[in-house]
Amino acid sequence: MAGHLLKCLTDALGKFEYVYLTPLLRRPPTPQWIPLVVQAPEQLLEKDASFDIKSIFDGFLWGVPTCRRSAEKRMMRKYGAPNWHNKLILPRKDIKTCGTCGHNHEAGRLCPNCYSKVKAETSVLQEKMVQELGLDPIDKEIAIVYQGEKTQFDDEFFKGKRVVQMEKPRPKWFSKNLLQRCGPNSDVNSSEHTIIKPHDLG
Amino acid sequence: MEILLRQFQTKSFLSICKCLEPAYSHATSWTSGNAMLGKTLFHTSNTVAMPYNPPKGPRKWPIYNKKIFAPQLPGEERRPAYVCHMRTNIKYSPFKMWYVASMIRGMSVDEAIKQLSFVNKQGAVHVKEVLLEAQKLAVEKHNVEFKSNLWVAESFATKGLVMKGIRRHAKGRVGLVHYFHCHYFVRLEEGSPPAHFFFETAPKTTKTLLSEWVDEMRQRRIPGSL
Repeated sequence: MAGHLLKCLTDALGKFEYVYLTPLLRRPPTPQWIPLVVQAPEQLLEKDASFDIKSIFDGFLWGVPTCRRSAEKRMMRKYGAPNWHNKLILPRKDIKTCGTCGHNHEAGRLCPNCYSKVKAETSVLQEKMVQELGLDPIDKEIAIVYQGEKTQFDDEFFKGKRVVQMEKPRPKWFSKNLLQRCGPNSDVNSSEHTIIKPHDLG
Repeated sequence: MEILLRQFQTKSFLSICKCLEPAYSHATSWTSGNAMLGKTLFHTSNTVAMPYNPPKGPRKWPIYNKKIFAPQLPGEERRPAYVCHMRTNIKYSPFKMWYVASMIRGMSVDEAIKQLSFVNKQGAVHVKEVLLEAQKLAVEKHNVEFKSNLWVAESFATKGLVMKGIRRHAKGRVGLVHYFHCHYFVRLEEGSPPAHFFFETAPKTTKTLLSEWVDEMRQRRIPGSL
């Protein structure tokens, strides 16, 4: 197909030259398309002496296989080697079961089932925050209070904080203890820290 | 008599009666004279709007589910229940599906489903769905007591529909593009999975190791001897 295209191109070029260039040059071109018949037969033989049959593949038929793939190569391609490049899918040993929900997750990562619940609750909280407080710059701390918790906190707790009231009860997994500040320099035995009993964790 | 009674256990009364009916043939209806409704030789339905589409794809795999075995002898070990299930013409290459199908061979169903959840391949999604369907079928229709008491006895994929397309290459050349589909087959068997599903990967016992060593020793020959 490429050969045919080439032939078309060369013919078109020749025609273009004949039609447009000859009137400019004021002399007819040498008949280049007439093949040279006068040639010594010895020269021809010399020329063809070094002809290699494989030269027909140069540049045109490159993208084809030249040798048959051996069994070893085929096996390596399909199955790979165990300690090299293993193509087989091996069962994973780092799958753990979440203690909270029972779903499986990769070791070293959060349980997607539990995290999706946390993510959903976070988005609800964020929506409520935007609704109540708007998109003003955050300069004060935000205190999130769930249903039935207002009585547990005194006014001093809400001093200097922006309150976000939620109409729903606190989720079971959302521990109240998260609100207690505990930095690297804080003392465990100080009066600020209160001992929270397990049933108050949430 | 016992065979007939045993059939009652596995099949419904209606299906047994249907089996005992004489085989219907067109010749009998023609000679009978009384053209029964729905069994005439000429068409009573629209054949142009509803042309006959012959069934495509594999059909033999689920027939294994209907197989009725001979009654077992008193001392014989109880034959474990099995369920054959398949999914046809999945838009996935059978060459790629092979890796997923071969991974779960010999695993228990729960382990297989757990592992497939963490395989990053499109085929794994289909295989997992097929396993869950098969598990459900086993419990509902094949007299399997516990859905976890199943293991993957057979799991393989075959070539399905292949659609051919054309793509362009440089210098006006064309290339063929193959859009592969595959069929996935699975057979779940009741019971705990075997300790070693593949014979080759099982550790050799001392007895076999010894016998092999002895054979190797006996195969030795002195070169150039008579």
